[in-house]
Amino acid sequence: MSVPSTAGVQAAGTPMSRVEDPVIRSLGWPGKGHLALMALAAAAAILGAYCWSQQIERGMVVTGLHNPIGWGVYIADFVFWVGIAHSGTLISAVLYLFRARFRTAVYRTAEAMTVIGVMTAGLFPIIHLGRPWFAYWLFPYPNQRFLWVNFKSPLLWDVFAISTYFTISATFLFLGLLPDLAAVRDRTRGLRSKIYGVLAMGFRGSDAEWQPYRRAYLFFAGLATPLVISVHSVVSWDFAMALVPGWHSTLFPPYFVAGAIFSGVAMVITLLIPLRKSLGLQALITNHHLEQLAKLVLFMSLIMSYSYATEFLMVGFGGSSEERSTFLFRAMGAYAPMFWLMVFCNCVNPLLLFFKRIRTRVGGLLWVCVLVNVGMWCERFVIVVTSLSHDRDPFSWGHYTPSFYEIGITVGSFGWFFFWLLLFVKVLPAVSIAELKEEAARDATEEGLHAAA
Amino acid sequence: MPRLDSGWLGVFDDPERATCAAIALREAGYRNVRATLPAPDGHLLDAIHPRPSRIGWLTLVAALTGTTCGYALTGWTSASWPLLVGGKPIVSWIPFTVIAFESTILIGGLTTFFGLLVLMARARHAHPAPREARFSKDQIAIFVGDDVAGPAQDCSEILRAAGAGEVRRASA
Repeated sequence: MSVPSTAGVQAAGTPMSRVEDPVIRSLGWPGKGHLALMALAAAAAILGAYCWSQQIERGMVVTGLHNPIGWGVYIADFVFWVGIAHSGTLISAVLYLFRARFRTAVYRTAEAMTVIGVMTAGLFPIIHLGRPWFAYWLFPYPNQRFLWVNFKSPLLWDVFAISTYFTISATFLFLGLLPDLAAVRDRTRGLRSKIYGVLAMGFRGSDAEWQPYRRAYLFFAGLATPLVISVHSVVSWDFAMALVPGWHSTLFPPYFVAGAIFSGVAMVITLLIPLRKSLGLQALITNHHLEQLAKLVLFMSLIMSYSYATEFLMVGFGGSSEERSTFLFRAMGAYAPMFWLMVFCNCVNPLLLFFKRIRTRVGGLLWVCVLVNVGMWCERFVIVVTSLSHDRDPFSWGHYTPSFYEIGITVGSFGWFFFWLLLFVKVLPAVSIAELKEEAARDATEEGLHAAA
Repeated sequence: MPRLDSGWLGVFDDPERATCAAIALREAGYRNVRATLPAPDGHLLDAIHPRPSRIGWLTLVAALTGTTCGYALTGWTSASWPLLVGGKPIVSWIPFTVIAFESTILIGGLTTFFGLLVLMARARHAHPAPREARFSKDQIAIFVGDDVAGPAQDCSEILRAAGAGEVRRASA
């Protein structure tokens, strides 16, 4: 059965123009609500910038980090934002390879979220360095003494994985945008048309362009798919390669990948619900699309619950008293409220999505997904902090509370993320015009065949 | 073959009809058939280009080059300043595989992208197709370039028979 991807579009005009017109209209000057949200996001980003400037001026002493807890909110934020960034490529590349047609209307926003999410995540290792002006030491360059970076360190794998992920995600986003930029160029006038024309790189939509374009897109999706799995695996190895109780587990790579898809898809839904209304794209991004994504959230939630249970099962049956102690500390120690909030948000709350009424009503769905994001941030915090604060040796146990500056930078990262995303959807098409046209033409042909039969 | 810019243009509002036209033209012996379309249509593109693009070979070669570069960079830099870390061998292929994998994807992806831009620019120059704003909106142009070696039959009839809404002489 075909998915009614453009079924909501019933206005006048040809099937292709009916999907293009609302997208072109969405690129107009933002409304008051949109501008207010951008201002709010910019204010939060400025707060984060102020806190970071204070940290640079006064040193890492302004944070709550201390021995033995050298990793805190910054690393939790880093893992959280990499996870958020994960689902964009999943939706655009993996679902493309599986020919999941519901992806067409939602993948552009998800891809933009990926690129902006990696931009946000990439800030945190630099913030965490304390001396950000030495960040370039992480890259292999022929320095004065020809001393190279240590390629055996998982932290360096991270540098390569994240920078590759950012480059490939941004290129993939731009590749998908090319035909749409050409369409916007032809629909606009004056300076706007010229700018879109330059960005479209001369694309005209001839057969000789589409033919290699389709193949290249397929191969790009093929390259991006293992990359998306590798990136969060590498992030998980930052932890799993260490001998710290609670981290040293072979479960970590698939567990992190599943968590990233879970949080990322929940964030896509969280963004799409208000954005489609703000941009007037309800006819293109329908409740059907949101429901399909909601099913994915529910499925990933079950995998996450299974992973949490597996962790405790392995510790319960394993012979390591240190591991057992750390996991008991997670559930009953100083950070127990965060742990149980995580369990509620990630394991219990998504079960509501078993009910079609919740999946198809935007209010309920939005709340479930916001809570999933809260839960996933708590998960990152619990993984990072509880293990370090409750290591093998009781004499090195400690407690960590984030400082105002760390919280300010965290809030700032959300402001930074939302600011760029709100700007993106007003400057570049938030849904793929070319792919929706392809779907619309296919639907029209199928309808014609049905009518003829 | 010289570049031919004049010919017959047929305008369609349905990809199915445009595909029928392209197939009919090919069966009639026309080889200089081009199209401009607002969205990719697999059947139409396959009708005009029976052989798939060879950009995949570029991706493969670039990806393998990336793998080689990744292993070469990690192996050479580790050997040039031999520093024992964590009891691991100086040249440790297992951790270096992570870097080699990322290089594979990075160089393979970027080469595919820039290769595509070059291929598309060359295609625009070598096979110019009609350009109008409506062809990026909802209309499909099938252009049959004049070809002295082509069939003598008037291709405008084929375009009309396939359901073109507009058939006229045009240049690309």
